[in-house]
Amino acid sequence: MRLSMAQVLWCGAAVVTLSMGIRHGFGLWLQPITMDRGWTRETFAFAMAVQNLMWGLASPFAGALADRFGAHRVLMVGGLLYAGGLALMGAAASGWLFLGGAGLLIGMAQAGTTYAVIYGVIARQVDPSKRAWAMSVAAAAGSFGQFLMVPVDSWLIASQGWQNALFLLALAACLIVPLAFGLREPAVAPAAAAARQSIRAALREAFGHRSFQLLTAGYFVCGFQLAFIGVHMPSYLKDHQLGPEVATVALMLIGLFNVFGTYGVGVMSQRWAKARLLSAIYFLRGVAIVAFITLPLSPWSVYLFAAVMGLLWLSTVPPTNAIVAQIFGPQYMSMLGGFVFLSHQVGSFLGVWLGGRLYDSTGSYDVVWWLAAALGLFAAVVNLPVRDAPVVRAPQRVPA
Amino acid sequence: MSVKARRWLAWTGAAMALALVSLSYLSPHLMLDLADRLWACF
Repeated sequence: MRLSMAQVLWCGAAVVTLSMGIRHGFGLWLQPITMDRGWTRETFAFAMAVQNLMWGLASPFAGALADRFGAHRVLMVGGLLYAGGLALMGAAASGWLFLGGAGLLIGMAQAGTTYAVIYGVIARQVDPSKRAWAMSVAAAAGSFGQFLMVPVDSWLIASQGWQNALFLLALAACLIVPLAFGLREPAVAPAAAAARQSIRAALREAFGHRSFQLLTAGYFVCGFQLAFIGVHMPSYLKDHQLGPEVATVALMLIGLFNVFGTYGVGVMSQRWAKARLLSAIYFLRGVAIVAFITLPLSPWSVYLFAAVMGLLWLSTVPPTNAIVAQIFGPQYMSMLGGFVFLSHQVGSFLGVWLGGRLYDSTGSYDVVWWLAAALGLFAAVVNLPVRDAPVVRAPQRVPA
Repeated sequence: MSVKARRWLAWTGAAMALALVSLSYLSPHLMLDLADRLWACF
């Protein structure tokens, strides 16, 4: 017996909206926290960098726990860690405590409350013919959360003060706990449980599978491009004497078109080969970046670039995860999705870090823009040979 | 309620939510606030 698709989608979408939305506006706290506490920006930035790495590193473990003990348990713990991390972020009087809350706790919480865990439930509970679409609904909800929370965070900080705003967000994160009950999956029948593949066998199978390796390599590029653009584009625009309102509108356009792109690609994944779609997304990103840096820069070219990149922003998420589910089945979907996501986060880290490093050494972002474009073409090529045919396993002996 | 009606309701709700959030970005207060914070990072 399965959960109803509506229940999975409503609860999964609400969890992802909260978890992706809350984290998206953290940059808005940089100024008030560092000013109020008298910390350097490095203290804040280091905690955010640790959070992103922790999110990636903890994802395979959170996924494995969700696959083994149930996604709802991991979601509940994740929701509580999120609330605890936000409360600590608001109350921390020292940089180390802030690192513990904003970096470690929230990083782990994100691993337990975002795509990998929710997609495991979708893969197990939704019919394979509607899986990619259902994943796109959850991803679009995450995109909407990001779009929604920037103005909400800004309003909360302005009206309640930065500290109370964080405490209110901690209360909002607690909502993940009751929502997790809606994703409590029915117990697996004893015969099916006995025939389960072991974690070690699942890992050996996945890491030895060429398509899994190629998908993981492609997802690294996704993380690199998004993190570089998200963090360094405002600075790039400032270098080119464009006003701050241009960056704000660009931020809005990325958020808005991201919702359409994520959902649209999920719908397309139902009809067309997912690997080809991924390849097209990465290729178009490369083309958009080349056009952006070679054509004359103006507010309208920035808006057009933001809209195009918004359409392609998180649109890689549903097809990538749907392919993993299709090849390896739903049993270890969360864990395998977590490993693919780890590659994404390593790419994110390098995108942010190399962006700054190469800017300092060359005096411009040109090298990193070209690198991001070249990586887009690389990812387009590596996704072409990805095959999503399910693996064929030797039948396992089931004890009588 | 028919499936078609429910679908229309869902799409209308989603479109309204997106329109409202988009409008909130265009409010002068938020635009100024975001611009200040964004620029303060660099």
